[in-house]
Amino acid sequence: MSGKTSILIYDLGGCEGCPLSIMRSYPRLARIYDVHAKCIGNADIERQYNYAIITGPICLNSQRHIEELKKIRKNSKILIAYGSCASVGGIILYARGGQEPRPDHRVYAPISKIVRVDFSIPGCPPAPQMLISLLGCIRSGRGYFLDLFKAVSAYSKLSGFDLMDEVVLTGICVGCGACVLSCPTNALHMVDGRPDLIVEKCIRCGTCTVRCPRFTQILIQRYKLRERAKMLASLVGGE
Amino acid sequence: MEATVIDLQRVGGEAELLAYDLDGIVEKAYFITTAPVRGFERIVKGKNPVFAVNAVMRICGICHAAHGIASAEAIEDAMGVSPPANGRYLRETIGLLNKIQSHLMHLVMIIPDLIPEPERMKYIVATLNILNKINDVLTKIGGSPTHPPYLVIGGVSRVPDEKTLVNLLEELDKLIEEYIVLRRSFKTSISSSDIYGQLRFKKHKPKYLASHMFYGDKYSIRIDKIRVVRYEDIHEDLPSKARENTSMIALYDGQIVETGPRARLNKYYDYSDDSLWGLQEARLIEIELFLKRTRELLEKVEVGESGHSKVLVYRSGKGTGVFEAPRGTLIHTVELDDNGRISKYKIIVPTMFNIPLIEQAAQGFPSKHVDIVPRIYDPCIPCSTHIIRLDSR
Amino acid sequence: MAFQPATIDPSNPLGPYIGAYIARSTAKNVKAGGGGAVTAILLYLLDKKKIDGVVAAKKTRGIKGEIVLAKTREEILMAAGNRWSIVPYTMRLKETLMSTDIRRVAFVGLPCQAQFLRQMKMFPLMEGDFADKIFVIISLFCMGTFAVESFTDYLARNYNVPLEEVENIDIEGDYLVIFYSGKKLRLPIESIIYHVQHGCILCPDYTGVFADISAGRASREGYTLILTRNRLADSIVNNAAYDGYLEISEATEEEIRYAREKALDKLNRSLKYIMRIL
Ligand code: SF4
Ligand code: SF4
Ligand code: SF4
Repeated sequence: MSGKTSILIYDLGGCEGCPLSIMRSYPRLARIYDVHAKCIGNADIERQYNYAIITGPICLNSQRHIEELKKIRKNSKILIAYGSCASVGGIILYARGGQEPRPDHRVYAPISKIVRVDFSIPGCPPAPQMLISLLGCIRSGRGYFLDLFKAVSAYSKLSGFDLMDEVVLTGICVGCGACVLSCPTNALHMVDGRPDLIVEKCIRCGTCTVRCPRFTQILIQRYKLRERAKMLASLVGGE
Repeated sequence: MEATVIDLQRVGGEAELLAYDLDGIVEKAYFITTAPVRGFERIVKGKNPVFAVNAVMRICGICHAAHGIASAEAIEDAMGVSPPANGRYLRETIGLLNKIQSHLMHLVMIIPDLIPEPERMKYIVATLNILNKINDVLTKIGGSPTHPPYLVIGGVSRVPDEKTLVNLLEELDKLIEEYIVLRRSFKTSISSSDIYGQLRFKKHKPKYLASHMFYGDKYSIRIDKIRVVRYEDIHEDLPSKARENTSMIALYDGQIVETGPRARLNKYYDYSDDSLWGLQEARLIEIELFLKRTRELLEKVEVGESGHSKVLVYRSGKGTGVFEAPRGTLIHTVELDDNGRISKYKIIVPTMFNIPLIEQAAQGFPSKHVDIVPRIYDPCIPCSTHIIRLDSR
Repeated sequence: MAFQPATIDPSNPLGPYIGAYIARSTAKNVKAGGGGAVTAILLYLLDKKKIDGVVAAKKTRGIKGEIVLAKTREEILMAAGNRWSIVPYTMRLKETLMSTDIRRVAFVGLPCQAQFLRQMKMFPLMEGDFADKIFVIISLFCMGTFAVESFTDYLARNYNVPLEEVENIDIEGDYLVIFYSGKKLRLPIESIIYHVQHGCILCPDYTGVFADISAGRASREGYTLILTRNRLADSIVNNAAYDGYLEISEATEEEIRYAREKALDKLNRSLKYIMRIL
């Protein structure tokens, strides 16, 4: 198609909830972008894309999927880990393998374990409008929380457990309630002005952590320190 | 014979069709799922049952609620609790809306085969419009259009208020009309399509498996007659390419059976259409039936009464939950240990029954368009690749 | 349009804004002080049917509060701002917003809540988000909130000020002034710093850089400083003034400097503290 920015939407073995949520805004998306996806029938990982939106976790024991992912990384300018599984592992971090007919599929991880990821978007699944809004911000090069989504790509897990450990138990929670309203399984509830985690409901989607004003601060600052350390290391010749 | 591997697109998940061609006609076909096996039965092992309901919904982003309901039913059976009337109505409603979602999404994926541009986009937009409205309804009843969190053990955790219910009923009336208009014009638009002709022409009469028209009934089928086998077990001389398959196969009474919309309508609605198109026709009929049934159920909901049993019993026990998912009979079985934690969990999904049928139906179909055959069966790969071998003892 | 990045730049602690006004409500029944102008804006929005309701913290006892959805003038007047303790958003609020036929709502909250709402509006990470109902986000200036039980107990124990009787709290120079049963109690700010929430000491945001409109105490007695951060916000404030709800004038350099200093104080405090916990 002429001149439109091309995007690829590709699932690596998630539940399909993320690509289907994107598809619900397909008419709007297609007006702005040249969309390629399996649900439309024109996904081709051999060609070049401006943006690749990957959903689903990567199975570290499946060579086929790892190769596909690497190929997509090579063929796309910007790679976005979309949804909880792709960005922070989500429910699939609990996988332990051993199941018929492929007991060899044992370990799953966010895709940032295998390739460099530009932006990581948690959400199980993110709402349909999310992608349009995000791509708009990336394209204009600025936006309120792009730093945050960049920072998330440095993590290999984020969940209500981290929220408890880093914010609530350390006493820096202010009790704003943002996390409670951000949990898709209602795993967080307010007890005397502080959130508490109902552990058996947490599916490790990470949404609460990126919505917490305190945790986002920590994520971004740590990411900056990390980047600085990386730069220093490269100056002294390390990798 | 010449072999081609077709990367299947516009189906739910990752799969390929390995087709052998003889003079433009498919001689033999293998349906190969390639999605990795995430192993949900293993994931929930050792966990609190509450976790299981939220976890298994995430097996599939298409039939999330179906898994949630089957799981809750199985766990309730094991715990010895049961939902109050409101809980049953709302749960069935959530399940029906989920089936409608799935059928509509499938329609979006199949439209490009049947309707050329520029009309194509018009139908996709119209279908998505209805889908988005259905999603709004599900958000109000289930809490979210995907993986609805109000679905809990013991029923449905929130009951909508009077005003919301009234609004929903009005909304549903409009949706029913909107859908009927869409269906009518869709059917006239496709009548000249080539592929439609081929689908109409190709007959295939399988045996049917269904447990209920709207909900699911474990007493109307014999679960002990289901046998789950590896893909290799139903094929002799499997080509090496097909050995990568990542899903299991289910047989009923030792036989290949079809489950899903046509099976349901055939058993409970006096519907018969042996052509491949009959499958799609059944889906189109079901959407209307489900919308009307949803309306009926919402009228029964008692505002102010609780929607769930408000009790969890942590004890040892066994339970089975059967639910009619969009694609057919879905079975969850659970065993709880002395602390009420999950010690065994098994899931049989409808696509496991349907895979052998896809392969049979592809035989004799024109090779050029054979990718429509799996698509018309609407296989759901995220579901079918997360399944454990069920001992037939 | 200027965008605020996720971290606040010390060279611009107030965040981007396109208009800065000193404002005061014109109506007699709207109390002056921190929230007067905000209440006037809300009443304007409601009267002109631009919104169906307002989500704000309503004072219940002393500095305690609860989140309410105010749908009438009376309810809005009752709910007028609480900025000394944080009132958590709860699932109940979400259900209220989801189940009724409320379409557009103005949110009044503290800077951290404004950040959350902006994030929801821009990037709906959940399908259950009420992003499309957020019409305008109004943030109240905030130096930090008290741990409610800790602070009220302190007042009761040391100064015999019962929780129920606290009517208002204000800052005058280095003093915190507590108004209760017609009386005034002046406490040096240092003495009460232990009752401020830790998380608030970490917070870098004084004005609410992610809000559409930020409002808080101006240095001029009885007036509110309003920052508008986009065109929608600016037109709301100007139209409210045009229609006689609000009396506004361009903020002077001094007024802006006054707010800027406070914002910088808070930002510095935050940067110092965050280094300790990383
Ligand atoms: S607590 Fe909720 S939002 Fe946070 S990670 Fe767990 S499920 Fe996700
Ligand atoms: S979002 Fe963060 S600061 Fe707010 S209540 Fe939750 S944990 Fe506390
Ligand atoms: S200081 Fe920050 S965290 Fe505390 S209430 Fe104010 S805005 Fe919220």
